[in-house]
Amino acid sequence: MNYYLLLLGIVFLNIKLKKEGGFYLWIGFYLFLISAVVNIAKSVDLSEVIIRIGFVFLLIGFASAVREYKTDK
Amino acid sequence: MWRILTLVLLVPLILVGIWFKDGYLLGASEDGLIFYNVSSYYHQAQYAWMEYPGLGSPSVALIAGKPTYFFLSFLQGLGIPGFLVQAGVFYFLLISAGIGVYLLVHDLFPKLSKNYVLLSILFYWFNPIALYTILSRSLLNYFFFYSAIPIASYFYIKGLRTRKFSWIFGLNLSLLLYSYIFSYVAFTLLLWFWLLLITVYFVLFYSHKFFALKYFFLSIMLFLICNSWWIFPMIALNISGGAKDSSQSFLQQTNFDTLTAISKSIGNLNGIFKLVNTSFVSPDSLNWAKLYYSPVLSIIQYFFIGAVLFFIIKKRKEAEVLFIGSLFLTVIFLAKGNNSPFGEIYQILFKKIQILQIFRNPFEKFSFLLSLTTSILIGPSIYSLIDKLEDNLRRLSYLLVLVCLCGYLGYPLYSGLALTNTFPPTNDYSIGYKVKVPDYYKELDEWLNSKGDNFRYIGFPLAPEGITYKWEKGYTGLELPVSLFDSRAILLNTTTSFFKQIISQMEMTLLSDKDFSLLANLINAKYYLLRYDIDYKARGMTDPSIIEKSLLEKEKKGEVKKLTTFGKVSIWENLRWEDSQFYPANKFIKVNNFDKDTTFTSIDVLKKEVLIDLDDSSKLGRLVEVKETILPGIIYEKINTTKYILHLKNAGDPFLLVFSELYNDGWKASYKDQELNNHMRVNLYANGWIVDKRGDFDILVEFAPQKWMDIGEKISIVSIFLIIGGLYFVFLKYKREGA
Repeated sequence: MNYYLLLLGIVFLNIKLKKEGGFYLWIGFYLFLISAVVNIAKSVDLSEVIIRIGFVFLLIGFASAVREYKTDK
Repeated sequence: MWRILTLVLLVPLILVGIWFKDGYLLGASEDGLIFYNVSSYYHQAQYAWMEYPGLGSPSVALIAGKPTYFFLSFLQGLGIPGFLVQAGVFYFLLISAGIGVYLLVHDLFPKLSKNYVLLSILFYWFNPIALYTILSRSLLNYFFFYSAIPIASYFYIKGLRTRKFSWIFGLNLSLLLYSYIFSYVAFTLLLWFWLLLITVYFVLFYSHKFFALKYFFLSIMLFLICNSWWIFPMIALNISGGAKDSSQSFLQQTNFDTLTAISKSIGNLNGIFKLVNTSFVSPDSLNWAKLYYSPVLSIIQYFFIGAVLFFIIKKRKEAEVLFIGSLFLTVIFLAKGNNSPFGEIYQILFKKIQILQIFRNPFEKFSFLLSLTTSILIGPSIYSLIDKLEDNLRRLSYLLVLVCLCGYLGYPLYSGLALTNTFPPTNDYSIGYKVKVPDYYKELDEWLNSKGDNFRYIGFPLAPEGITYKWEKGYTGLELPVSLFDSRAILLNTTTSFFKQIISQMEMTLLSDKDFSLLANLINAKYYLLRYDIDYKARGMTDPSIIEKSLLEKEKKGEVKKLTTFGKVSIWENLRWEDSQFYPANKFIKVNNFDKDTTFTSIDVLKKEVLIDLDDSSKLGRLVEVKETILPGIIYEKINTTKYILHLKNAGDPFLLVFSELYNDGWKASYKDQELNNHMRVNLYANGWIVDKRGDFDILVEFAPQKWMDIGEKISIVSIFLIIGGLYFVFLKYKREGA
């Protein structure tokens, strides 16, 4: 899976959606939960793919949250 | 606060009491048995050159631990048994880790109830990273780093937040206490990378850019001054070229392959988020380790990290949460190595900046920081989750979390299972890492010490680096020349440059018809130890009875003589030994390629023969073979491992002076402050110089980086006094302001 394309895709999508950092953080969190359930159900490889996608969302969401914090400050 | 302090003092006491209640040392893996004979380690760490692994080597890695070894050997010298010293050290490291986490959490989240701060402390002690990377790995410098990083982080962050430079004194004084961690270069880099990361994120969230940069710069400057006793010789060794061979063996393509393999194996995000080293918790693991795969226990592990993520998202408007959250996510990113996503960033930095190749096992190194950041967040995360619940439900939830932490995560620690492994005998749960060295080793060491220190001895069968002993509780780990003996033992074959070429030939030659004394004399070996207490089958070593048979045949030929036996170790004397630590050589045997040559097994140093590499033969100059009677007599004084004074008598024509110590560019020979040129490698591993003087004179042979260590020690001592003075001044100022 090309995570750079995923990253670019999310960034371009956000230009249209204009969502807060929290939106992506929550997506990342839910993907983490899904990955946990899949991992416990012993589908380790699938779980790893999901958590990696979730991590990308967490990184994007966190970066946005930092930007918002700096702007609010 | 007193309740927390009581628990911080009590819980480690209980743990240490459980681990050491039987009165045994704990030892395994690469650390050997430090606490069996700490003074021997202090002896190795005293100077910039040490006798380990038998032919000598630079001790720059060990000398950072000199104050620690000094203090611990002092305690042992008072008659405190080794296992108690070890227990005391473990106790100190656990409580200081707990205190460090407490101070950090309390400083970042001052309104957090102490009950929840306790959860952070317990998590730091009991999380799977502490279990595997600290306890199960059984490496003392890892344990020291794990303990140091919370305290060091606290001092550093406190100084940044209060904008007071005086906290730099506290930081550096605490780092001196934990200086043992700098015996591993990776921890020096990791520590300063961590503090730099803290600085960057601090500036991002709290501003005060200029102060933060000055603070970082001054911290590192004071650190370099306070630690100059080990930094100076390390720099000197690198400048002199003495570290060239070890650094070249380190910096290779294999590092990148290792990084990729390890990232694939243990750099998966599932394992990282659960703080689990998946290679430790695998289907081949010990039965108890497989518990980490069970669904219920996986849920518990995911719960803790889920709580942390939930807390970060909910409180993302708060500077402290963003600050620690940034560190948390960064460390997760680094711990996965060059795994996706975006592993290429790590890979590029790894390839471009050579020193970063020390981090070819990213999970192992960055897991310390992951463990710390997660622990800091656990307390406030759990509080944030359950605080809004009604009283009874909140108390029940808190209790449940406590049971999960102590009952589940803590179980391998207080049951002692954390101190077991897959290698026999450590896979026997009743033994684990417990070790009892037989008493006869003490007698053997005393006997060898009584014979002087101008010789070496070889232990057969020779071990690859790892060894398994069949003692009362057994032992499996790195071979123990430093632990067991004060003097110059060759017990193992390591990958040290020049060493391995010679030592790999030892057993083969002993078991052949060749005159083994020629090879033994080449390395100045006077005695051979035959050891029957080794599990040679487990390690693929030679059967000692085969070696004994060969020794008996050589005894008939008059080459060796069996002297005595201590327990399961017998001592044989090389009857053709003469002290060849220094000898003048006049018969030059030239070979084409030193590293492929095997004729050294028939070099006779007693006939003043020396092996020269063809590439160095031009250095011989007008040196020609001379009659033996013109060669000078040499009497030498060993001042310490880095300094010898040679008294030469009746030197006639020029000759080659051979110094039977591992070749290193740092060794210098001088006559009346004039350095002798043409330093070359001879006899495959040793040092040689052309001496072109006549009559009676003295030559000084010394290891040059030692001079820098002496200067560095003086600077370090002065700086420590200045720091203590500075702290006292700050204390007085604080008292005056308070009044």
